[in-house]
Formats: sequence, C-alpha cells, structure tokens
Amino acid sequence: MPRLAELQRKLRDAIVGGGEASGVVPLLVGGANPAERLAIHRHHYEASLVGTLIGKFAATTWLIGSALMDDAAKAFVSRHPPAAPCIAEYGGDFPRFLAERAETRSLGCIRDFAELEWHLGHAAIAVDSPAIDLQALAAYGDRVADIGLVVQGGLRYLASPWPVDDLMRLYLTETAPDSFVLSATDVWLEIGGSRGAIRFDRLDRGTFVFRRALAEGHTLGVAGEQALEADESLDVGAALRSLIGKGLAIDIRSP
Amino acid sequence: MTTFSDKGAAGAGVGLRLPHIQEVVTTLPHARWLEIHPENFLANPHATELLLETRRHYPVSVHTVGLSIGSATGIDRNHLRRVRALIDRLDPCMVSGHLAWSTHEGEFLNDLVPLPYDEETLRLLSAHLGEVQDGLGREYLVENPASYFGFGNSTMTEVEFLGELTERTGCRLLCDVSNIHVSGHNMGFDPYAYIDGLPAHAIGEIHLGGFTIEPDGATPGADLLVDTHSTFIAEPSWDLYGHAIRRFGAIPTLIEWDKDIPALATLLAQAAHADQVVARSLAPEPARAAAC
Ligand SMILES: [Fe+2]
Repeated sequence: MPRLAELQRKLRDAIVGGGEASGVVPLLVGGANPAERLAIHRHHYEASLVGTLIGKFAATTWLIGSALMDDAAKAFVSRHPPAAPCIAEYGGDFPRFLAERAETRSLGCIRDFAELEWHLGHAAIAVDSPAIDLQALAAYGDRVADIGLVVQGGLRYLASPWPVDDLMRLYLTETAPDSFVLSATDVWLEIGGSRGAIRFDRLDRGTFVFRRALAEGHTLGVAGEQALEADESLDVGAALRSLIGKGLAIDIRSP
Repeated sequence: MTTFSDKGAAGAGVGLRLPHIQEVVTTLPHARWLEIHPENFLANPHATELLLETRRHYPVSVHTVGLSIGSATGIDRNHLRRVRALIDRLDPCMVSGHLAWSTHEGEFLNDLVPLPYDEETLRLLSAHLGEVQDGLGREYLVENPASYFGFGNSTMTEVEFLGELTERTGCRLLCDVSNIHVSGHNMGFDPYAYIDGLPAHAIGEIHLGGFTIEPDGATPGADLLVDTHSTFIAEPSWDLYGHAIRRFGAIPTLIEWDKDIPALATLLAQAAHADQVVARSLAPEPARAAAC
C-alpha cells in the first residue's frame, strides 16, 4: 500500500475512533505536543456529526432523553462514519442502531418512531411534481397491469405494531401528557410532504401494501396481487383511482 | 431589482447558506455574487429549487467540501457525478475545493485533513485535479487550508507545493487569506511572506472568514486559532487582505460564515467592507494615506 494511503488510514482511525494514531504522532509537527492538534479534527468529526443526528432526530431525543441520545449518537458516529459527503443523507441507519442498543432496545417502538421521524425529515425537503391523471393510463389498454407508476418524491411508507403516529403528534403539537401508555396497535402509515410541509396518514392495510409496492417500483399487476394477499376484500381499481386522484403519481413506467 | 445578465463574479460576495435562501429569493438583496456548497443541495430538492431561482438573479460560485482531491484511496466518482449534474444546471462562475483530504475508502470524515507536502502528494494531486476538472468539465480552483498540524517529513512548504502544483497542472488557486493568518499563527510562519510567495497570476478567488481563539492544548499557555467561520473577520485578516489585494489586484472575494450564522445584512455589511478595503488598497498612495 502506498505510504500516503497508510498515513491516511491511521489518521482516519484517530479521527473516527479516537485511537492513538500509533506511528503517526512522531510524524506530526505543530506546537510542543502535536497529538493535541490532531484531537481538534477528532473533536470536530464527533461534534459536527452528533449535532447533525440530534438535529435530525429531535423528536427521538424528546422520547428517550438527551443523555441517552448523546451517548447513542457518539457511539453511532464512531462506528458508522458517513458514506458520502452529503450530510443530509447521514443517519438513515440510526433508528436500527437505536433498536439494537442495550440502553434503548427495551423501548419497543423506538425504531419505528425514529424511522417515522427520518421519513418526515425527507418529506420536508421534497418537492411535489405535477401529477398524472387517469387519462394517462387509458393509452395502455390491456397492458395496464404491466406498467409501473413513479410516485411523488416525498412519499414513504412505514408499517408498525405501535401507534407511533399518535406519539409523533403529541411531540409536534407539544401536547404530551405527564404519562402516556402506548398500546400495541398495527398502523400502516403514508408519509408525504413538499416544500417544508409534512403529513402522515394512516391507511388500511391493503391500500398501504398497494401504494408501497408501486413506490418500490413494482408494476400495477404485482402491486394489485400483493395488496389482495394482504386484504382480499380490497377493490384494487378503487385503490388505483384514489392514488391518482390524490395526485400521488407523477409519471408512468412503460412495460 | 438586482439582476445580473452575465455569469461573472466581481467584488465581494457572500456564502449562501440554507437559513438565508428563502430570504434571498424573496427579497433579492444587493449581493454581488453568492457561493454555495453543493453538498448542502444535492440531497435537498426544495433548497435546489430555491437555488435555481436565486441563480436567475446572481452569479453563483460552487465551492465543494467533499471532493477530497487529496485522498490516497481515490476520488469519490459518484459524488463527482452528482456535483457535475448540479453544476450543469447552475452554470456557475467558479468551481473550487480544498488542498486537503476528507474521504478514506468510502468513509467521509466531514473535515478537511492536511496533507504532507512531498513528491508523492504532488503526483496524486496532479492526477486527481485532472480527473476532477475532466469530470466537472470546468476549471477547479484549489484552496489553501487552515492548519493545526503538519508533517515533519514534508519536503516543501505549502507555498512551494502550491506553486509546483500550478506549474504542473496549470490550475488556479483560491487564496483563503484568513486561512493563511490562522495557519501562520498555528504553524509559526510569516503570513505576509506566504502571500508574497504565491504565484500572483494563478489567484482566481479570495476567501475571508472568521476564526475563534482557543487555548492551544499542544502548547500550554499559548493560543490556537481555529477556522470556525463563526464570527466576524478579524482585523489582522483585513490587514493581510489589503496586502493580498495590492499583490494580486481586485480578485473576487467571498465572505465565509458557516456556523452561528448571523442575519444576512451582517454578511452583506462584511462584503461591503471588503469592497472598501479593495478600493483603499488599490488607491494611489496619497489617497490611501488620506483614507487612513
Ligand atoms: Fe475558505
């Protein structure tokens, strides 16, 4: 391995993991004890990314408390550095990390609540595009089952055995009572938003599966089959008309 | 209404950060040009929409913080492609980045880490600069870093390194005057001699930013200057800026403020002050004395 790559690997270990940067410190110059200067980069790495996570997961911080959040965020940034320079994309794995962490996994809804918050953050910066109407589908005639639909960029789907939407509303409206019992209830949520506005709505299970399948890129035919498996009483035609009518589809993926 | 028909930057501009973008679109304040970090927009469609609207009224410079031309493990080509796509939509007046590294094997350190200045780094930077400029289809200005430490095995000074880099690649430089002041204090070199040593013909843009003064953990009793971009530009930086302008001429200059971001009017006032410093610095001697 080239010398510079080895040097950078050691500096990376010191900055991300807080290690000793063994073998590197003797190479550094800057003040009487240059290792202290290297610590500036370590501190900046941790403080900037912990601040980013706490900013993105403000509701989750409210739920678990600042001390637990701070510890979890520090552990996360030292084990999971960003994979890309757009920090707005950093933190998607944090809900799972929280759910696996001993200090927070006893809170059964933590992963879904944090994922709902992550999706809301995504929806807030999305931009709605002009929607298509039913007429656009007519041209496909018998082949309509083979087409897919491109949905609005802010849409996300989340199923949870906990009513995390109720909990989120308590946070957003600042109406949390002193104590609140969260009873297990299956919810199927559609999260959307555009230009700073956000919304999250409950769907019935069949509609949820249908819309999620389309958002994942499946054809209308496959989405319909999956939805009927989830709820055999679903009227797939009505589900399609509802999706189009709400302006959720913006383009067609031809067969 | 302030509307620019050309795409060139002249005089002092300000950094356009997300907290100000809606205000800029709505009020169209008198700013000469704006600089953005593409990394703030690539994953933010709403901010990008507002940025494209802003671009109709102002020249915009693109300053990358994530291209990491100093990474021994290579350029992040996916990021390069994303920056290119934004640049193609913006048609910026300038594109720039740092003499530093921030990515290692697919991990982004969210910081600008210094490089040893030697032949190996020079060869790497030269190759990466070519790759970046080809990838972006644009000239890419290279900015001198703010340093807290260096490497004892460097075989050349930062000024010598930058001079050699411009010679080998034909690239131009973004001279961050505040970084020179910060590094000069922290690393013990003369910032005026540093500016005198830079190739004047290669300077395409200047940066000015605020720093904070903190205890130097490396040297008990001493202070360290930290390039936080969180406060007003300090007097020594303004003095050094006047020196740079006398040497380089009236170069487009950016006011950088990225943390504890103040009201937009505060940034614009700092830009207006920079324009005054340029006018004073380039005035004939008697007028310069009268201005003082
Ligand atoms: Fe700068």
